[in-house]
Order: sequence, then structure tokens, then C-alpha cells
Amino acid sequence: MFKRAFSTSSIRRAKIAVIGSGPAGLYTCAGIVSRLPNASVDVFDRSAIPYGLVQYGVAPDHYDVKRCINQFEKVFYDHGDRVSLFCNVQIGSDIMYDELVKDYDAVVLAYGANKARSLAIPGSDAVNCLSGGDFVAWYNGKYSKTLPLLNDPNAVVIGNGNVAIDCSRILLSSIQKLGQFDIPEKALKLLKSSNVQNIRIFGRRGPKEASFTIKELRELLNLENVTASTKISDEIAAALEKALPSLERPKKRILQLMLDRRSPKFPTADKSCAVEFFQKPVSIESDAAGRINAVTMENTQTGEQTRVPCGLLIYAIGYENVLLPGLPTNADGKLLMSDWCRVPNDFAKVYATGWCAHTPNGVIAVTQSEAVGVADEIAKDFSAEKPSNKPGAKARLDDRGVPYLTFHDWQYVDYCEKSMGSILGKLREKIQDAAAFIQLRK
Amino acid sequence: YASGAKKIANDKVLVTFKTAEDTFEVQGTIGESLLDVVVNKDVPLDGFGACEGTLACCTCHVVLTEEHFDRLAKPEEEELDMLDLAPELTDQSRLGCQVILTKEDKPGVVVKVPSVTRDARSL
Ligand SMILES: Cc1cc2nc3c(=O)[nH]c(=O)nc-3n(C[C@H](O)[C@H](O)[C@H](O)COP(=O)(O)OP(=O)(O)OC[C@H]3O[C@@H](n4cnc5c(N)ncnc54)[C@H](O)[C@@H]3O)c2cc1C
Ligand code: FES
Repeated sequence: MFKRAFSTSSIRRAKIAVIGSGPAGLYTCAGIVSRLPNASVDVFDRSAIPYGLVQYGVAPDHYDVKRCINQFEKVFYDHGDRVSLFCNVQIGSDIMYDELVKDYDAVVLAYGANKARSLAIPGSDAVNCLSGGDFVAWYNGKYSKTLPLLNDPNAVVIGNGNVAIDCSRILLSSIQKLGQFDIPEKALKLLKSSNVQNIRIFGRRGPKEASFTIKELRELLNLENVTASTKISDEIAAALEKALPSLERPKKRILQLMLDRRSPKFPTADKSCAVEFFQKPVSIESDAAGRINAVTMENTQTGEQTRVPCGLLIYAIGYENVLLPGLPTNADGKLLMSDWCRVPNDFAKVYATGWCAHTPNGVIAVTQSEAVGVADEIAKDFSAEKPSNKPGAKARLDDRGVPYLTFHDWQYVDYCEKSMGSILGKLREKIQDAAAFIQLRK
Repeated sequence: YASGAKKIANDKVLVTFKTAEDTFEVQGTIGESLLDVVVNKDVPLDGFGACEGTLACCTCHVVLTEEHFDRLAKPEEEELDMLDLAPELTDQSRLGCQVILTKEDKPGVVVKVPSVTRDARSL
């Protein structure tokens, strides 16, 4: 069990707040503690449990990706005397940004971009027309109001990025395989009874512009019980073939894969999945009960429209940045930054990193490498260590009776989840309302 | 012990990790991967090896010298797929968790650990 170590060094130098306990926040935090031995860091997250999209984004069957959690936990284990976690604390309501900059020497914005971009086309409010964000939240056991209906054989996924692939793969994978990881039992049960057989994935732009990563695409195209292929016309394929030699290796390799898999690896499998290009949705039709029953797609090159019947539509067209109240904005209404990582402020040094700092994309490795760079900048800014007279925000939280959860509370949740998982023969059974669960225990 | 004059045991290889700012020299054991060396010797490389060697990240990206790269077997498709996501990919890039120390590496190898943000952004 985690032993709380008490600080022996007398003076705390920099007192730093990190908003968000996802990869951006915690890799920055790790970088700070290794570079500034006398700094202390308070990490805030509005979610009841830490680690951001590693918990609620990364797909259950990508469990290996989640091993970065071990690096995050090590920060709390090794530096329990100067790194504290405050989960279930929403910056912007429980405590304000304007307060944090007065309570700390530095504030790191690392709160991600968890708002799914919406599909603004006629009819998109139909039942079972879901954002990728909602669908991902559902299979990752995050509390959500929307339950997908999986009784229609035809589904459409809009978007040519990894989230579109994740959603499709979860719908097409064998339950036996999925069941070993950490998909909540409730979601697994629904997937078990699923009738989804055919998925068409539509991207607005072409193969060259698709933002899938090759590993994800290959995984989808290699699914054993699925006839999975890319739909690329002969004409475009020929143009791509010609362009290939001049491209950089990563682009070349992924396009080669797309070209090779115009014919599927398992042509006789009973489920099907097609990755299609140059198609944008224009309108959605629903049945008498308000549920989607078709989407009209338009070819962005020819303008030709096709009606595609489907009982489920998932749009995974990206995430949007949300600004916390009190943050400065530029002329475009985006976060105002004075260089690649700094945000102007009169009271504290403020930094931004990860998905909240720019267009929300990039895998964990990219988020990580950026966070390390930010930690370097922070270390530079605080290299002349002066004693800190900043109080931190804990007193404010206590005064307001904010029921925050600590790293210790998360360890308990983690322990219970793993224990339940082992009873069920899987890695973990997630507790959906961790805040209530902990309050009950207290 | 940077002199190289120091005698090292038969199954040991001197591994030098070079980042944009630092150089770390440690003894690795033949049969270990570069990731094993980083973990076992506590080399302070932030976030290195996030997926613990399961080919699910690319945070263990290293750039080898040409001779070192050439004497190893070519990376498999799975490794190449992951490498394609690595910031600062080069022709001598490998994933550190897939590079195993062999006796051909004696007395030592030098590997570069790219850090894109620091190199490209702090200009
Ligand atoms: C569906 C999906 C699947 C993905 N799969 C992979 C994958 O397989 N491999 C991979 O390498 N990458 C994957 N990624 C990318 C990866 O998740 C991101 O690179 C990374 O999570 C970004 O880190 P972040 O810390 O900026 O944001 P996040 O991980 O979103 O963390 C932000 C944190 O801030 C908290 N927060 C937000 N607002 C507030 C507030 N007001 N107050 C307090 N806290 C707040 C949130 O609760 C969250 O915990 C995936 C992304 C998505 C969306
Ligand atoms: S440690 Fe993740 S790929 Fe090597």
C-alpha cells in the first residue's frame, strides 16, 4: 500500500497548480518534480478519477497503451510529499482560474479538449445519431445518458481518424476478445446482443488526408471475422501509386496499405467494413419514432448524392477546445498565448500544453514530448529558486466543502476495480460513479 | 567513468544515451533491450517506454549510429507502424524496446534520444 511520505526539506520553492490529470498534465508534473527538487505540485481534475483520455478515450482493447498509467502512478508514489491529486474538482466552478493564479506561483493548463465537435446537418438530432465522444464514453464506462441501439445491421461512421476506427473496431470485434479487458459488463452485454454487421466509414477528404494512424488502420483491416477494405477508385489509386515514391516514409507506408487493401484480406467473412473517401454527410432521415434510418452522403468531388440506410450513425469528426472562464483570448476567440507554451498573466506564470493548448490531436507520445518541453521551460523560469509564499488552493476547497478525491481514494477505487475484474475474468471492472462510491465508503 | 579505460565485465556493454541536453552513460547487459537498460539503470529520460515494451507507443524512439543500425535485423512491420508516429523519425530510427544488446555491441553503443519539442520549439 502507498505510504505517505512527509516532507523533510524545510522551504517549498515554487508552488505549481496543474489543471488536468491526463497525459499532458502528468507528464508535465513528472518533468517538474525531476527538474525542481523543491517545487510542489497540486494536480486538479474535474473527473472523479485521474488520467483523462487514458481512462475515457483509449479503447479497452488497447490496454497496453494504458500502461503509461504506471509512469503516472510512480510520480505520486515517489513524490507523495510534494505532489497531490485533487479529483472531482472542476476549475471554473468549484474553484476559479482567477483564484488559482493568486494561490500558486505557476499554473499549467492541461485540461484537454473533451467536447466532441457536433455534426451540424439537417436531422442530426435523430435518435441513435451519436458523437464518437459519446460512443467512446459509453464503452469506456464513463457516465453518459446515451445508450446506443445496436439492433440494426447497418451502421455508418463519419470521420477518417482513429476515433472512427476505434468505434468501428469495438462494434466488429469478437466479444470473447473484448471481454478480457476493461469494457464495463453493461456495455459488453449490449455488444453481445448487437446485430451490427456492416459498417461504412466515410471521410470527407481523400486517402492522403486521412488522419488514421497506420497501426489502427491495419488492425481494422486485419480483423478476422470481417471483410474489411478501402474504397479507392482505379483512377485515384493510379494517381496515388505515382505519387508514392516522393512521399515521406510514414505517408508512403499508410497509403501503400490503403492501396493493398482495396481487396480485403478475408473476403468471405460475414461482417463487413468499408473505409470510403471524398464523402460528406448532407442530411439525416429518421423513422416515425425519431430514430435515424438513413443518411444522404455527397461525393465531394462529383457532387453525386447517395442515400445510405443505417440504424446507427457515429460521427467522429474531432474535438473542440473549450476555454475555462477567465482565460485570455485572441482575435479568433482561441486561447491567447505569448509563445508556444506561455499564457500571459499578471499574477502567476501560466503555461498550456496538450490538447487544450492547440488543435486537439496527436497520440500520447506527441502529448508527452510536448509536456517534457514545457517542463523544461518551467524549470528555466524557476531556476533562481526563491521561497514561495503562495498558499495553494486546498484551504479554499476545504472552506467550500468541495468533496475532492485524493490519490489515496483513487488507489482504493483502482484496487476494487481490479478485484471485481478478477472475479469476472477480466482485467478490470470499472466503477461508473467513483465519487459516490468513495463518499459511501467515507 | 567516462574515460572508457575502465574494464567492464564480459557480458556488459557501455550504453551512452544522448539527449539534446544531456549524456548518460550506463552499463547494459547483453540480452537486455535498450528499454530494459533505461528502466534497470534508472536513466532519467522522461516518459521513455510508456507502454512498457508492448509496441503500443513510440516514446522509446532512439536513433542509432549507422553501423549499429545496419548490423541489426531490419525492424518488423509492427515496429515500423509505431515508428511512423515518432516525432523526428530518421532512417536510423528504432524503438528502444526492440533493440537488444549483443556481443557485437561491445565495448559500447551510442544512441540518440530525440526530443522534438526542445529541438524545434525553444528557438
Ligand atoms: C477516443 C480516443 C482514443 C485515443 N486513443 C489513443 C491511443 O490508443 N493511443 C494514443 O497514443 N493516444 C490515443 N488518444 C490520444 C490521447 O488520448 C491524447 O494524446 C491525450 O490524452 C491528450 O492528453 P491531455 O492531457 O491533453 O488531455 P486529456 O487526456 O483529455 O486530459 C485532460 C484532463 O483534464 C480534465 N479537465 C477538463 N476540464 C477540466 C476542468 N474544468 N477542471 C479540471 N479538470 C478538467 C479532464 O477531466 C481530463 O482528465 C486517443 C484519444 C481519443 C479521444
Ligand atoms: S516502449 Fe512503447 S513501443 Fe517501445
